[in-house]
Amino acid sequence: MVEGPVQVEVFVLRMKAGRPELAGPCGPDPWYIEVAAEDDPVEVVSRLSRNLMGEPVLVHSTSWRRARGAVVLSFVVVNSEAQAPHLAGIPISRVELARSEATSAAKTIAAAQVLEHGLRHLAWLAREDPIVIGLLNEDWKKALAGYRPEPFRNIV
Amino acid sequence: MVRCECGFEVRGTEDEIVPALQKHAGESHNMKVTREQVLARAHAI
Repeated sequence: MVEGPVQVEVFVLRMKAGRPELAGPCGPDPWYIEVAAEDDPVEVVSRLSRNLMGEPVLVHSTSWRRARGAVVLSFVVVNSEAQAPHLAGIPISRVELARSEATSAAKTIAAAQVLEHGLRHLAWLAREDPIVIGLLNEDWKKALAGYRPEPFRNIV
Repeated sequence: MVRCECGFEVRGTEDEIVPALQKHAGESHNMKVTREQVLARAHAI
């Protein structure tokens, strides 16, 4: 149903009992949002997140790819542990990353791989970015310690 | 009945499902959909 040349794919994350889980408005599926030409994607994701689930802790774009006949911008939204309790949470499983070639994108990229990349990106921010370091609590930092940002392995 | 790809579902008459889906599309997906677009996706049950 979501259409248009630019779309946003959001993975809504929430901590529960020391483990991150997916807890967005679309259950286990990514949440898709349309972005018009005049829209700022970060503003749109922040506004819709706020309206549907309350003020998010963090909104961050982690990757992009071509899919669904569009350029799809992937975001992670981190909510607080007690936020939007009516939304069911689904545990997150680790998966292998989709690997690109040196000058071309991976042939297929699954949503779970986009999320894995998003969590590794978040793990990097949790170590390097003063804003993110200040926003994420200790449970998040412990959980993200297991997500190791990896170098681009195609270049040797 | 109309079902959004996110799982949201609304049942009722045309006059019930059109505004409900338009509201959902705007609030959840930043979309503006016309009555015709909603009805094109509706299924009789």
